[in-house]
Amino acid sequence: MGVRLAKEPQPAAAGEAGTGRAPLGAAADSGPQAASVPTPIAAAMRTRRVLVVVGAGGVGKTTLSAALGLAASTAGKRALVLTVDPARRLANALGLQAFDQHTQVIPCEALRAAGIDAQVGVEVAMLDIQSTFDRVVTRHVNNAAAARAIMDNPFYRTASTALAGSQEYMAIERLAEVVASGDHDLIVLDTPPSAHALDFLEAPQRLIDLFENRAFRALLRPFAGQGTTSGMFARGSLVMRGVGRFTSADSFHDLLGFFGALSGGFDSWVARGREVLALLRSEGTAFLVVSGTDDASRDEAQYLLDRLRQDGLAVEAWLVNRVATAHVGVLGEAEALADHIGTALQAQTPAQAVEGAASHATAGDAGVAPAVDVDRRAERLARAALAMARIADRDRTLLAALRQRRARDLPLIAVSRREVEPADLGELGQLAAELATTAALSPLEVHR
Amino acid sequence: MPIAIAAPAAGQSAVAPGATAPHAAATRHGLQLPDVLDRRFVVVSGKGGVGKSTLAAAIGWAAASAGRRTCIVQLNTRDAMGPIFLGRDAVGYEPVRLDPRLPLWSVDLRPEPALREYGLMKLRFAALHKIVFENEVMRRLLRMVPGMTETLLLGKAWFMEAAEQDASGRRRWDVLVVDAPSTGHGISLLRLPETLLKVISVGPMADDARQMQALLVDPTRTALHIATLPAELPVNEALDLAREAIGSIGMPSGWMIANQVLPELVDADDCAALRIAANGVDDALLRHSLDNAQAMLRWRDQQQAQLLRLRQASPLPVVEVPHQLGPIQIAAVRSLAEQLCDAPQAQLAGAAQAAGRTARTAPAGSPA
Repeated sequence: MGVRLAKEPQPAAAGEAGTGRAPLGAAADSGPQAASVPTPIAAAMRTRRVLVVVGAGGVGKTTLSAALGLAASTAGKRALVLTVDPARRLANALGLQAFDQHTQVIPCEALRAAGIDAQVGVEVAMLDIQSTFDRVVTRHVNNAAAARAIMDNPFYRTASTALAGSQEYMAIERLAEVVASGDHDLIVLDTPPSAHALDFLEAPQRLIDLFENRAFRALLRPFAGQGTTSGMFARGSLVMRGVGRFTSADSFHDLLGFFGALSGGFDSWVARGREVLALLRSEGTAFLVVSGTDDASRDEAQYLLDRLRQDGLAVEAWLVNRVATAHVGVLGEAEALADHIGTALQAQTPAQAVEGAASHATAGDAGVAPAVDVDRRAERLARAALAMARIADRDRTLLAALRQRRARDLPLIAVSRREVEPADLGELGQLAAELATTAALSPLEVHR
Repeated sequence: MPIAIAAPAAGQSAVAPGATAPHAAATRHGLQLPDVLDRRFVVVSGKGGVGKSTLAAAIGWAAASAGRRTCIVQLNTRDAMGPIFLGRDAVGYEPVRLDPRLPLWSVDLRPEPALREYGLMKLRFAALHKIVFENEVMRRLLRMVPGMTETLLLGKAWFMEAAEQDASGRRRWDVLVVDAPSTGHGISLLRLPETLLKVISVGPMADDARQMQALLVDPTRTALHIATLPAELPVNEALDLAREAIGSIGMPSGWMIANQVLPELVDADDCAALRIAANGVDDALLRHSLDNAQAMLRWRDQQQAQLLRLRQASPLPVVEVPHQLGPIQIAAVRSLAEQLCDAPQAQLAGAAQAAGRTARTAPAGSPA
């Protein structure tokens, strides 16, 4: 199986010299028709109302989510970026002190001042699990006594934020809230990193499964103040004696009390859960799968993609983030490259060498014998150039493999590695522009 | 590239009070296994994507090379150890041997089998287990219980440390290397016994939680290593994690391991000389070499700035691990393990002296 790597255009060849920020996708897909076909992100901005960003931890989901919000504003869409990451740094990059659970607006003028061709402002909000949970409880439990009972319950007080899947559930609950408000053209949901990144899809189903269970609802009635405890949860029952091997009956009844207090709202919880699941499956919603160029995050993305598709959810594109863009054309024998560089260094006139030493070198270098210095210097430069090329080549190999396997049925977008993470609106704007203008990588031909 | 290491920030000791006397076990490769890698419960945590699993693999390999019966414990995740050691997904709830010549195994703990194991252990009879746990209501209820998954995973890991025995009745494991979840979830996992005890203070589970808590803060059995990258966001998260886990929870400190540190290949003068030589010459190879070398130089400079910040603020001694510049396979894990065992002690002692501190600041295991 021979991959046509050698004939690929060099990623950095079209980029600005020295910056290493080549438009990877455009370079790889520069056919004459490329300009007229909307890029995957531009298309998503036009057709979707909700974009859910998923991927392994550390691949840059939160930064990409913010950039997608900015990209939306240049497309004239009022976007809300809903993040789970309290990173102050990104908040600062957006010109905010910190993220807040309340929606904060980055005004259109601020975006334009940073060189972004924004048509409208962008809104951002951070997911706060406890406050979302409190709001949900008060909404679903429309009686003050029951709400009080929940807030006083030891499970709720200490562990509501640790409720199995609560972070994931609250993320989509909040999504449902903002979609219902109708204030935005596009909502970008940055999902929490989790062992199983699709927990947030399964959380509402788990909740529905329990709250809809008739036997459970019947058994719970005494814990909502209706009748006396009987059946398996009654003190002295076989189940409760078994439970006693783990914890006291009181602790277990506290837990049941927690669900008992919630039970008045079970029907509306279930209805909301179904709404949310329907929203995720609706045509207006699509997922963006993000990976880096390492094997682990690629495997995670692959897994997520398969699972999302199994569940019948729409995947808009796979973003391969932080692809190194060095010149891979220098790859070859280290010695040959060092010789080539050494010859060039030797060819410098003494005047140039002195000028170079005076303007760039530290004092004391001027007296070093040029012959020895130049050979070592050439070796060092060759090794550095090759090391950088190898890193870029490894990324290119990974992309090539993905293009063979995936590009036919899924837009693949390569996002180039920044030398530093975007630190201000201007840099985030550049990332947004790259996202909006990068075409999908074309499928790679394979010779057999 | 030798591993560089720096002493912890002022006012912090790398050795928790009450730590056992320093000792170092020789591996069969003639390496000295540093004390902080030779605890019964070695926890590796850090932000996602920083190479946490690779470091856990290297630490596990080092411990097994020193003859320790070692198990790398993964917590309900996609198996990372199978692909590294065996080239395929292989690890599940039951221990899988990773290397036929070494006492090295791995497990990937799952809540469901852990619940069944824990349930059967406490209830003793399968029939009773069936009545209590295998009815529809309890099954659905338990999936919604706060912290249930985390409790089962940490509980099983603790049980492996505290009680698992082989057929002859001796301890099944000498060293458990826990590949902990990434930062946010990692912290809630490490805080779990504390949280659990707020909700249930009496009964067998509460007793278990107290023992779990005792394990987490016991400097003779446990060490927390934090993996990070020399980049801004990973450094921020690593420092947050250190504050929470070491400062607030009180876990015994291991190392702050900075992964993927680029070697110093070129300096600014080299790049300046090539810039002049390439100027006005029509030679793409030279220009591209210059671009690459300059990019490498800038990248390394940024890394060094972040490493400086990390060293200044980290309560744990900082250990630098070189960039592998290639895919992470077993050879890379071995070389990582050797480097973790080899260079740090001498350099740690050197760094401590350079910083004007006593030898006590160096981690146990350094030559006295």
